[in-house]
Amino acid sequence: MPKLSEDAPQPVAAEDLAGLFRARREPMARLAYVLTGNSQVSDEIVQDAFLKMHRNWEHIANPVAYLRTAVINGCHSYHRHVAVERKAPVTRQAVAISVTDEISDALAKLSYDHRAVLALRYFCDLDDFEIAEILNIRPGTVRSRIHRSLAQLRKEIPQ
Amino acid sequence: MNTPALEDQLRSHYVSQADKLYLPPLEFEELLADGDREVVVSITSSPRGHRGSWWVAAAAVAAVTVGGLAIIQGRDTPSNTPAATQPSEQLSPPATASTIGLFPAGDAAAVVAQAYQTPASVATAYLADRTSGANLPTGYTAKATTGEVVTVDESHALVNFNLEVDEDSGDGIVQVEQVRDSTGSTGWVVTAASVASMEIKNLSYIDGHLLGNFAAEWGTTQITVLDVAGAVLATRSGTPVPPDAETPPDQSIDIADLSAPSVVVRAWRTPTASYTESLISAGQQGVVGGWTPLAALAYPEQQASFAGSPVSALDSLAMGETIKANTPVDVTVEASNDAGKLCISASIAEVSGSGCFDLEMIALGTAAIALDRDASGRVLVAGIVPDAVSSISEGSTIIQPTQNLWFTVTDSQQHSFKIANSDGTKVVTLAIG
Repeated sequence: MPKLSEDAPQPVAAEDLAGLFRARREPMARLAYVLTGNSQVSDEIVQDAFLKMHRNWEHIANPVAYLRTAVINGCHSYHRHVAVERKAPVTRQAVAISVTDEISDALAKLSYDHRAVLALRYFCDLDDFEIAEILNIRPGTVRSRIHRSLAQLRKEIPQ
Repeated sequence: MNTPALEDQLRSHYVSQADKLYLPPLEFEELLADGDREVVVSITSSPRGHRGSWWVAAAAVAAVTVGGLAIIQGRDTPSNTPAATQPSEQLSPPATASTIGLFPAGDAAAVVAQAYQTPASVATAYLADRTSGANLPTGYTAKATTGEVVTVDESHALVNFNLEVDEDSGDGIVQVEQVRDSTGSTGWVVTAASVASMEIKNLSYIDGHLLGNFAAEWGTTQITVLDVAGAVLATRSGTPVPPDAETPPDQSIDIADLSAPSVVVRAWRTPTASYTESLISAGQQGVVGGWTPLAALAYPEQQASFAGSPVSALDSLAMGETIKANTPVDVTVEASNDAGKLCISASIAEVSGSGCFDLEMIALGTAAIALDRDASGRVLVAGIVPDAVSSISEGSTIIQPTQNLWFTVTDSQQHSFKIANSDGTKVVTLAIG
C-alpha cells in the first residue's frame, strides 16, 4: 500500500472492505454472470475487481461505481481475450453451461457493448447517465445502443 | 395471453440467468491472503508455477461460449475468402473484373494506385468521404471515427467505427480487402460497411432491375443507387417512421432500367446514425447487404462452424453411460441430465474435472476442457466434436477423434489446435493459454 499524504482520503478499515466484499460480491457476480454465463469466470472477475479496489482504495471515491466499472471491463476483457486463470479447483457445477434459450440466443448475436448496455439497464436498472459513466460513452450513445439492441432482439424473438 | 413486453422479458431473463450463479464461500481475508494471485483476465496468461489444479477449463469452455476473435477464427479453404462471406445469402465479390469494391473505385490497378497500405487508412478515408456533405442526405451531418482493426486473414480485415450525428451515434464495421495488381503491388479497398443492424434484405439485381427491402424503423430511410464510379443512378426515400411506431412492415426498393454491371446500394436512415453500403452485381439475388454478413465476420463465435453435423455419441448414449474410459489417461464422455448436452469428464493423475456443452457449442468444433499440470508436469486437453470433424492437429501432432472425443497430453499450457473436417475445407482454431 502506498504511503498516504496527509490530505489523502483515509484508508478504509479492513473490516469495512471485507463488509463491502460480503455485501457486494454476489450482486457483482450476478451482473458478471449475465454477461459471461460462467460462474467461475464471474467469480474471478469480481475477485479481481475487489483486489484492484483494495490496491487503489485511496483513489476511489465511489466504491460501488468502481466495482461495476471494473466488473464490466473484466467481462469485456474476458469476452475479447478469454485467457483465464483460476484459483480454486473446478467443480462440475461451476463449469456446466446451460442449454441456451431463445433470449439467450438472441442476446448472443449482439456485440458485447450492446449486451452490456442492456444488462446495465434491465438487470441493474441504471439510467442513461449512470450507464454512460460506467462505459465511458455519451448518454446519447447509451440510448442509441439500447434502441438498436431492442430492435435487433425484436427481429430475433417472435413477440 | 399477451406476451410480456420485450423489456420485461429481458428483466425476467436476467434474473433467471443470474439465479444460476454458483459462488463458493470466500472471505475477503482469504482473497487477500492469496498473495501471489495476479489479475486473472488478461490478454495472455502469465507464466505460473505448478498449482496442481485446473486452470484452463473455463478458458476452453469460454472459447465455445463466447470466444472472441482472438480465440476462434473460422475459414474455408482453398478459397481465401472468409467463411462467413461464403453462404449464398450474403454478398459475394462483384462479377466484373473491373469492379473491386466501394472505395477506392476501380479495378485492382486503380485501387493500388490510391496507395492505401493499411486497413485503417482506407477505412478512415472511406468514412471521411461518405460523411462529407455531398454524400450525406440534405440537412444531415455525421462524423465517423475509426477504432480497432480486426484481422480476419492475411488479406481481409474489419475496421470498427462509430458514427455520430446530432442526437444519436452508432457502432459499425467497415470490411476491407487487400488486392494485388499485375505488378504485385498491393493496396486496400473497402468492400462493405454498415452501422449495427442496418441492412438491405433480399437484394436482387436481375436484368437491370434492383429489388430489396429494409426494416421500417425510426427515421426515414434514403436509398441511393450508384455505379461503381460514384455516379448516382437513382434515389428513393422510404416512408418516415416515428420513434414510437409499432413495428411497421418492411419497406421495399424497386428500381428498374439500370444498366450498370454492378451497382452500389447506399442507405442512410435519418435522423438516426444509421448507414449501410454494399455492392451487388448483375445476376445476384437473395443476398443480404449490410450488418448481418459483417457481424458474422466480426463475431465468428456465432458461426457454427460444423453446423448440421450430428454428434453420434449423443444419439447412442444412455443417460450416464460412459463411452470411453481407462485410456492412458481417463477421459470419458457421457450424456448429462439435460437433454441435448454432453459432458466430458477427464482426469490425469491427481487432478480431474469436467465440462458440459450443448449441441450448438459442440457445433463450433471447439468444445474442450483443459487441466493444469499434474505432479509429473503433464497437461491434459480434451474435447468433443461433431461427426464432421476428422482431425485435431497442432504442429506435427495429429489427433483423430474417437466417438466424437479427442484428447492430448502435453507439457505446455499454451496451445493452438486446428480442428478440421476430412477434406480440409473447414478449419477452426482453438486457442488455449
